[in-house]
Amino acid sequence: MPPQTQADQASEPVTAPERPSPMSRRSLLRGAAGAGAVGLAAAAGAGAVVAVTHPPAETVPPAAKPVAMAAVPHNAMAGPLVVYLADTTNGEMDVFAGPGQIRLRNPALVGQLLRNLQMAH
Amino acid sequence: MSSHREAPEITKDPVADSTDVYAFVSPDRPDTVTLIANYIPLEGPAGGPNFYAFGDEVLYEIHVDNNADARADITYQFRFQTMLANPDTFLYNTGPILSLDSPNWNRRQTYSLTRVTGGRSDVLAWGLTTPPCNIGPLSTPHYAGLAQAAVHKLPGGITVFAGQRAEGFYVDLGAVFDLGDLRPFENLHAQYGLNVFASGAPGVNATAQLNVHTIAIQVPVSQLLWGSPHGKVTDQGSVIGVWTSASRQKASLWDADLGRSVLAGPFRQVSRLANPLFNEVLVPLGQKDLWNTLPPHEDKRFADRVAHPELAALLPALYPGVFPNLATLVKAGTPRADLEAILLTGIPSGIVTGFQNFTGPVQADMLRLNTAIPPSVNPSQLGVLGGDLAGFPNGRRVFDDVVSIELRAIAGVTVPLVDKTFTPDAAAGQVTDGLTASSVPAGFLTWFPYLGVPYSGFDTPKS
Repeated sequence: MPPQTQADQASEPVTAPERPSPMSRRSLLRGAAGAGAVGLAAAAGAGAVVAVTHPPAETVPPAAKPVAMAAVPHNAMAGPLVVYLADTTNGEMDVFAGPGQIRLRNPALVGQLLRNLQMAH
Repeated sequence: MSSHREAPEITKDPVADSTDVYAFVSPDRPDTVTLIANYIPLEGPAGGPNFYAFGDEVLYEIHVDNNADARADITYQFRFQTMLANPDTFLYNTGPILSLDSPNWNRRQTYSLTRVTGGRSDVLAWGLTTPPCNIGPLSTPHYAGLAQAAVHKLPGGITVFAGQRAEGFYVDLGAVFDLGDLRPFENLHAQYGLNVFASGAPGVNATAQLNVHTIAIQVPVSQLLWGSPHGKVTDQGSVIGVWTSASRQKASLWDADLGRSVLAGPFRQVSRLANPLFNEVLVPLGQKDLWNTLPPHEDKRFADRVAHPELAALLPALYPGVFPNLATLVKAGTPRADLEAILLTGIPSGIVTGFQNFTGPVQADMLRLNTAIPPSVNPSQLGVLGGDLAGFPNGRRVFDDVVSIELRAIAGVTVPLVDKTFTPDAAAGQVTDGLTASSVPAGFLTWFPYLGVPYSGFDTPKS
């Protein structure tokens, strides 16, 4: 048995459904309305949760420059990726992948995500 | 309790809830130090069919500071992995478990051990077996031997164990949390005018038939110390600081479609423990969760709670006329330098003859062990208070009566260490919840991992 490390924990593949169930979307929106924040999970590279994380290209405004970026471990993209919209008013979001975390500020993307969520509901 | 369910948030996360930490020079291998951290409070032995186990998602750590800055110089990390041999049965085991590789054992855990020092991680071992929980005479008929087979000898003289053990911490929870009732003296309690108790009564060990999950590692002393002079009791380099922590990844999301958690992000501390009862008794309710997320070197922000412990003011109020000198001390607002030394900096040389476990001015909750003090031939469960320099608060042994020691210290018995003019109340030296190490039915082992054989589900509770 190979040694188990923190990185191994994070690289465990997760298969996400093509689309979140209506119940899941409603739950997300209720959470967003109550806490002012939205948690999203996606399998990176798999195109999962398409309506939320990959809106049509023509509707996406140019991305704002990230205010901070930390290194993402090389194996992080193989595992689940969680985005936490910490503050929807200024577009800040934390992206968790593997054992890493980066903070981004992208009001346009956050706005688009919220609009897509509202449409999905 | 020592640190069982001591803060609101961690009560919701038992597998990450540290309950006790021990650090002592091994009595049967005095060239080694044994470090023990217990998790999962108040395990009912019959808790099947999904018997207790460590959290696969939890990063368990035991930290050692050896240069007096209250920061970890050596960390031992334990990571667990659960394996299910047969998902088509509801049973933990499908027959007697006679060995650790028994095909009858359906749900088992292995773990890895990693040492982190100087920013470098070394995996010392992986695939290490844990024993099953103690179920009963049909499932685990030779439990003591089965568990002992899960004691692993590693290169470098390291011995390690992880698995279920009998709870060794003894305390009268029911009485203590009933508004500070100490049964042996409950007739002296103010009783809020209810006049319930006319005489004292023996203590009741509320953890007497409960188990915990233990991670334990025995390490040669030489691997824990650094270049500073050590080997003599007076050498500051002989003293190590020890604490445990449990961490979880920062992002957790329940994927209802898959029926599993999605975890990502860096690990963040959710539980911490060193001195028993520190977070439990000294830190106020509104700050307990915060305390669990912080490293020891930030404990200065809680120093005032140590210098002016709430319990010291409560004792004279709950037991009118029993602690008059303590009441005067509290009323004067005198900072408790004795408690600050015991819990936050260690006791400097010159205070207790032949003893010191001082780690410098950084105020931090750590167990401080002077590794140059040999194990006691005739140990006192009252540790240094009982004249036994090998016991708490010089580290902590599995049988030390930390409840009585800390109650007596808070009641004022240690004030003369720093203020010769203070006379402790007569009661201060007698305060106890009425329990001793013999209140633990399982007893203790005289060999690693020292905590007793866990109670079996079949036999506990007795009909």
